[in-house]
Amino acid sequence: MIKAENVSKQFIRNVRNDEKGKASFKRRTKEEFYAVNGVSLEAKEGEILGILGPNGAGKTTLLRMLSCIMEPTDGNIEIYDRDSNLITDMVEKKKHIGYLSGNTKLYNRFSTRELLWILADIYGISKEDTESRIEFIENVLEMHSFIDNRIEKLSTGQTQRANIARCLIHTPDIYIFDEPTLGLDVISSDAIVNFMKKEKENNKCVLYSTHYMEEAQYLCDRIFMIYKGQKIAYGTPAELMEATSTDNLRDTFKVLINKEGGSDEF
Amino acid sequence: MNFRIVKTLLKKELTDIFRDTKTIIIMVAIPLILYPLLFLASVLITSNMLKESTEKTYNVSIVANDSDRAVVNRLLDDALEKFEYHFEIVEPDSDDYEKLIRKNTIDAVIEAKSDNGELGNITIYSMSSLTKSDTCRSMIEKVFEDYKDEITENKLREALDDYDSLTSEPFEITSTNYSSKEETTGMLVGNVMPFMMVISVLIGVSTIAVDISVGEKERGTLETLITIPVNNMEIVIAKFFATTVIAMFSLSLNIFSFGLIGFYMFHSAKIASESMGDFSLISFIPSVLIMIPLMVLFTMFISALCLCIDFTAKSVKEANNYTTPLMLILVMGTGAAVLMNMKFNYVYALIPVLNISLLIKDLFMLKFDATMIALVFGATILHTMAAVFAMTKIFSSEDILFSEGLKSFKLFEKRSNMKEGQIPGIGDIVFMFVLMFLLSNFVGGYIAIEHGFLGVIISQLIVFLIPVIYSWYIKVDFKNLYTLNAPKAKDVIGVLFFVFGAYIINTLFGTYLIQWFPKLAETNDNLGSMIGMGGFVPSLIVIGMLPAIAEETAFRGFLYGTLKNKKIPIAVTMIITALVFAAYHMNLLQFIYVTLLGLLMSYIIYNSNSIFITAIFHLINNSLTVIIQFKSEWLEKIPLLQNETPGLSDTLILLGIGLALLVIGFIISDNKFGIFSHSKPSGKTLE
Repeated sequence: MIKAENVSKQFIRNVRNDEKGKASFKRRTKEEFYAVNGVSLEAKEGEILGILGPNGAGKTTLLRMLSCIMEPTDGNIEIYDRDSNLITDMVEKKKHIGYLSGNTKLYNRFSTRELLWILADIYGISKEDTESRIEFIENVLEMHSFIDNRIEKLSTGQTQRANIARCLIHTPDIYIFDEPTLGLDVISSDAIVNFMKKEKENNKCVLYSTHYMEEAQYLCDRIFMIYKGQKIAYGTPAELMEATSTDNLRDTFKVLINKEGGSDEF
Repeated sequence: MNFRIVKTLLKKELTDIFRDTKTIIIMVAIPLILYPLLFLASVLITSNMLKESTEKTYNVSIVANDSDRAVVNRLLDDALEKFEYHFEIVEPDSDDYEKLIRKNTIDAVIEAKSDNGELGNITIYSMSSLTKSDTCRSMIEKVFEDYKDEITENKLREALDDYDSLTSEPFEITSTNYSSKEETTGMLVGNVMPFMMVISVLIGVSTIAVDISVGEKERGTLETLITIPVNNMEIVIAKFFATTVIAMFSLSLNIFSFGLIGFYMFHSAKIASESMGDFSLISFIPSVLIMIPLMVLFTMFISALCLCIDFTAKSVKEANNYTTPLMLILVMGTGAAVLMNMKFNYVYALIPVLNISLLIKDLFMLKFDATMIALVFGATILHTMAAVFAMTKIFSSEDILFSEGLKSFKLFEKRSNMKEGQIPGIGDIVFMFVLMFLLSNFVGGYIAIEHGFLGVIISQLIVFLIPVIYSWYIKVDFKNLYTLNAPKAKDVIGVLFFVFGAYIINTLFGTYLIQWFPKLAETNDNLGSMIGMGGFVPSLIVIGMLPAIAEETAFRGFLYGTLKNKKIPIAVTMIITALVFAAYHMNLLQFIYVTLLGLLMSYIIYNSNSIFITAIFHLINNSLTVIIQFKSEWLEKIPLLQNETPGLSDTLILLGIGLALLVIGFIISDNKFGIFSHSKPSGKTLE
C-alpha cells in the first residue's frame, strides 16, 4: 500500500553557538539537520502501523512526507493502489490518502456539510455519491446534531470528528493520522479508535502516531519507533516487548529511548 | 490545471470572505457610511468657517488718547454695517494685555498713537496661535486699511479738481473661457479620480490578499488544502481571482459612494448657479467606459503584485510590513502624477500606476488620445501578465508552510553565521544596486555640482565599495564571484581589437543618434562639460581609469558573477548585466549604445573568464573619449571623430573598419572559433 525507502528530510534550525566563550542568545548560528534520516517502512492493507517516538523525534515530518504534502530531501515514497499498481502522479497519490493532523484546521466559516460538498466537488465525486457518502459519514461518526453548524461553533471533539469526516469523503485506502486522539475525552477518542479498527477490518491501511502507549499496544499490528529522525525499533508490539523483556509498551518505549541516550525533551 | 477545481476553490474562497463579517464591514461600511459622513462633516466645517467672521463677536481693547479712541470706536462701530464685523469694545481690568489675550478675555488690542491731532500709527496686538485672535487681527487690519484708503481718497479729491475723471477706469478687462463646463468639471474630477481609484483598489486588494494567503496559513487551513488533490497552480489562480473579484466589488462600492456624493454636489451647485444649466453628464460616459476595463486590469495587476509579496511572507505581520511600503510608493506615484502636473508621454505610459493615473486624469479632462489609451492598455496587460507569471512561480505551498522565508536576502544574517564562499541572493543584488544607483547618482551628483571632479570620484568610490563591502560581509569567494583570473595573452590582444572596433562603431552610431534625435544630445552635454573641467591627466584618471576599476567591479564582477552562479541561462545573465550597466548611466542616449557596449563586454568576460580583460576594455574605451576631447590634434586626420556628420561613403568605410576590427578580435580570442582555440592546449604539453 505505502512504502518509504530511505526517506530523509533536511531542515535548517538555529543553534546556540558557544564556541567563542560568550554564551548569549545573540550567538546563534543556522545549522542544517535531518528531521528524518534514512527511514524505510512499509504498511499493508488491513494493517494499523503505529509511529511512536518522543516529541521532536520526526514523527510529524515523516507522516507529512508519507501523505505527500512535503517533498523528501532524499529517498522516495511509493504508494500503490488496490491492484498493487504504483501511482506516480502527485495529485492521484493524494486521492488515495486521508491525512489528519493537529495542523490541518478546517474552514471555520463553513458547516461540516458544506465543507464535505466542496471537497467532494474537488475530488470529482458525483452528486448522488456525495449525498450517500455524507449520509454514511454522518452515521458512522454520529454527527447528526452538528453537521449543519459552522465549524467555529463546534467543540474540540466535534471538530476532530468533522476533521475525520473530511478524510473520509473520498474513501481513501490509506489513512495517515498524526496524533488523532490528542486532547480528546475518553468517549471521543474511543470513537476514533473504533473507527480505525473498523477501517482495518475493511482492509484499509492505517498509519498513526500517538503518545498513548496503551492505545498503541492494543490497536497496532506493528510499531515503528523513531528517535532523532532514525528508526530505533520496528515490529509487532509483542516482538518489541520481548526484545526489551518488558511486559507493556510504555516500559518498552522507555527502555528503547534510554538505550539511545535518553530523550532531551522531557 | 483543472478548471472545475479552480471554480470550486474560487467559490470556496468567495464564500469564505463574504461570510467574514469583519472584512465585509470594512469593505461596505467605509464607502457607504464613512465617506458620506466625512463629506458631510467637511461641508459643515467649511460653512461654519465662512460664518465665523460674520457671526461671532470679537472683544477688542483700545489704548489711545480720547480723540483717537473716539475715531477708533467709530470705525469699529461702522464695521458692523460695512463688513458685518461684530466688535465689542472692552475696558481691560489690567494692563497686562498679553495675559488677557492668552486668557481669551479679549481677542486683540489696538494701540493708536496721535500724530498732530490726527490718527497716527496703529499697532495691533494679537496671537497668531489663537484662531479667534488671529481672525480678529485680520478683521481690524481690514477696517484700518479701508479707513486709510478713504483718507487718501479724500485728500486727492480735495487736491485735484478732476479727480473723478482721472480715477475712472481707463479700460475694461474681460475674459472668455474656451473650456466647456464639462471640461472645467472634468479637470476637478480628473484631479481626484485617479487617487480615489488607486486607493480604493489598494485598500480592497491588500486586506483580502493578506487574508487569503498568509492568513490562511496562520489559521492552519492551508495544510488541509494541500492534503486534497489540488496543485499549486489551481490554488494560486483561485486565490488570485478571488482577490480580484472582491477588490472589484469593493471598488464598485467606492465608485457608487463617490458617485452619489458627486451627484449631490452637482445638483446643489446647479441650484446655486444657473450657469451650470447646459452641463451634461453624458459627455463623461466614454471616459467611464474606458476607465472600467482599465480598472479591472489594474486590480488584477495589484492583486498579483500583492499576492507575490504575501506569498513570500511567513506571517500576516510580516506580510503587512512588506505591503505598507509598497502601498506608499504606489500612492506617491499617483500623487506625483496628478498633483505635480506631469506631462503624459510615451515613457510614462509604460510605467505602472503612473500611466493609469495620468490616463484617468486625461480621460476626465475629455482628452482622448487613441495612441495613449492603447499604450496604457497594452502596458497594463503586460504588467499584469508579468505579475501573474511571477506569482505562479513564487507560490509553493510547501515553502510557505514549512520553510524559513526570505531566502533571497542574505544581508540580514550576522557575519559570524555566514558560510564561506556564499553566492549573494537575488534580493541582495536588487537592494545593493538600488542603493548604489541612489547614492552614486544623488550624493555623487550633488557633490559634482559643487565640486566637479570630486563628485565623480565619490560616485565611483560608492560604486566600488558597496559591492565589495557587501561581498566581504557575506564572505563570498572573491576569485570566483569577481572572476579574478589571470588574463590570457590571446584575450589581451583580442580586446585591443574589440575596443577600437567598438569605439568606431559606437561613435558612428552616436553621431547618427544625435542627428536623428537632437533632443537626446541636449541631455548628453553635461558629461562633455564634466570632461572639460579638469586637465588632461586628471581627466584620464577620473574618467578613464576609475570607472574601469569601479564599474567593472560592480557590473562585470558583482552582478555578472552572482548571476553566472545562479541557474540562469548564460545569455540571460549577459543581457541583464548589459541592461543594468546601461540603466546605471541614467541617460537615454547613452542607454542605447551602452547596452551594445555592455553586451560586448558580457561576451568578453564570458569568453576570457577574466575581469581584467573587461577592465582593459573599459579603460581604453573611456580614455579614448578623454583623448579626443583634449588632444583632438592627434586625431585631426580622422574626419569622423570631429563630431561632424559623415557622408554615406565615410560611414560605410568606418563601419567596415569597425566591424573588421571586431571580427579580428573575435577570431583572435574566441574560445570556440578563434585561431588559438585548438593550439592552446597542445602548446602546453610541449614543456
